[in-house]
Amino acid sequence: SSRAARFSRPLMVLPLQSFPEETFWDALRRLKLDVLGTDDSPLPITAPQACNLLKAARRIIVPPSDNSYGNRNDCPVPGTLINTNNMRGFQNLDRDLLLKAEAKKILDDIISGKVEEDPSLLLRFLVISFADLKNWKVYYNVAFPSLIFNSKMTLLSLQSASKVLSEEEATSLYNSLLEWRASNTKTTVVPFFLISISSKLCASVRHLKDWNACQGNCQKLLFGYYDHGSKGDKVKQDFPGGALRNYIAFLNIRWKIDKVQFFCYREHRGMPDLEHSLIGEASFSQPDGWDDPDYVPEAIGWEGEKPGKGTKEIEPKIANLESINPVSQDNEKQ
Amino acid sequence: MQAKQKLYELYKGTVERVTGPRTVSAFLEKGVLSVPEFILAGDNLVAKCPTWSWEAGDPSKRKQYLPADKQFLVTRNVPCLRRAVSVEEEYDAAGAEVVLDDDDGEGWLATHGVQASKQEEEEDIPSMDTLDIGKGEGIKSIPSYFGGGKEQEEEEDIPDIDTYEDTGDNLAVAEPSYFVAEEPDDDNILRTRTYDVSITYDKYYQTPRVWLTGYDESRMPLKPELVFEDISQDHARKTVPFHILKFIASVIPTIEYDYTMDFDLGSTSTS
Repeated sequence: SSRAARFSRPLMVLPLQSFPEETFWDALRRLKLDVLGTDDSPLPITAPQACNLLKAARRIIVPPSDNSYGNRNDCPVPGTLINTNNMRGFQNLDRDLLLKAEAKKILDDIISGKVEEDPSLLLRFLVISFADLKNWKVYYNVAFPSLIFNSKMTLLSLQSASKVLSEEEATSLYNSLLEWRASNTKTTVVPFFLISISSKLCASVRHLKDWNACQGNCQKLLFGYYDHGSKGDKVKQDFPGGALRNYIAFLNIRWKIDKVQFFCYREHRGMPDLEHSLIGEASFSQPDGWDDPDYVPEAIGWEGEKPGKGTKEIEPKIANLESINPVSQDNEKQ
Repeated sequence: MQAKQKLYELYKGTVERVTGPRTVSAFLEKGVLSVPEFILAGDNLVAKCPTWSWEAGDPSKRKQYLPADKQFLVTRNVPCLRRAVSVEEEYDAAGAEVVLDDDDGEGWLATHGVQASKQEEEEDIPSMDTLDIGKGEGIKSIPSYFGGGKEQEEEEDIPDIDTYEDTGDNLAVAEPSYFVAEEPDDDNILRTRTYDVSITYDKYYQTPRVWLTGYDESRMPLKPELVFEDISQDHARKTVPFHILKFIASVIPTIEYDYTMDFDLGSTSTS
């Protein structure tokens, strides 16, 4: 509504972060030993995208069948794992090219309409690794591809949801969010969704594919998503999470919306938190060239990329697997 | 020691295979939990404390007596701000155990009651990786104060404002950034350990079992001996063996346990 503070500035978001679980490394270790051998071809994996604030990061789990259910706290998101056989192979991977290939998949899924059926495709991620099993270490890097076009995303307004909505709207929205999060339906485990507020100030949460049905009979339509935000720091709370960028690209390219009203959904202790949730408006004009089938978009998104340096110079992260090494545990026991 | 352990696991596994899961309640007489009771309790926990959820887990380890999508309960990334020893010192100073009242008026003993009630009142739960140490213009942490070099290097891992450039058409112009720098050096941020807490059903003992997986400040798995720093010293190395990290709720005094602090696990004294 008109109470929202208005301004215009480039849209800046908080980058997504990875948080590989111990079980992931153990699964990767066993996969390498029992199944992969020296096979280093790309593997599909799944990571739950955390839905609430306390779990700001994304975790990664293999194999894909592990966590296909999803639940109210985790949306399964598709990813690719490339596990190389040695350090040199790991270092020689062309990180730019790999990232672009994933970005291309995201764009293709936007254009083909697959994203409407499965919005988690917008959050596709990439893991490259070298598992040094002799020394119980894994060297790895993670990327969350974020599409870049020749046209810029502009933030027009951004405020706490509780300030933007009227009291009735906020109450209705809170209740429907509460009900929806507890319902365990298919929508609950999808990271992107719609919020419609009717002219009678009645809010409801719906699947993205209901977009056409929503139009016309509602007063307000917000494009919602699970926003990881950042709770510990008052300044960072004011920025939307990185998932917004690909979401806007989708809404613009697929549905031709160039002014997006978005809703960064955030929770506190597992309950909807409209104080920390944000409502904002961003504009984005249709970029050129994307509809050419051969068009490969630029992308950013490698974790740990340093200022002024290329992706080749990203330092590998190192996971120490000593804690799951039975030998070291036996030694401790003595 | 290890052979004995293996033998025990084998014995336990065999007993679990040949005996059916408990379906009749014996909670009041024996303090054990039947499978339906475990599922019911889990459903309640998930409904009342939304940070917990049921999980399906690895299909190859699936227990047939539990529903496929309700194999175990888990809550993740629970911040653990301090080490247990420091809490115990405080507790000793405070002098006594505290009886908490629940809704039914049945008081139960909190071995670290003073600390627990203090944390409950705190409105702002620190997020998994950050803790606001100086609200507003409080203490500013100087990077070198925390030991300089190494930590600073880690901080630099985060993409910086001016890093990213567009397609390269106009490199001369500084492009606007897309990402906010996540953790600038001068931020009031303190990293903390986190734990994943999960609860499984132990068919042999007919009780729930609590498992902990710890992560250090940079989100790498914690070594077992470091986990023990977070365990009450009365329990560490006694009911908590190395090969399996098995705990009851009261042995983790420092964990920022969300509001699930009040969750009574019933009888879990299996050791």
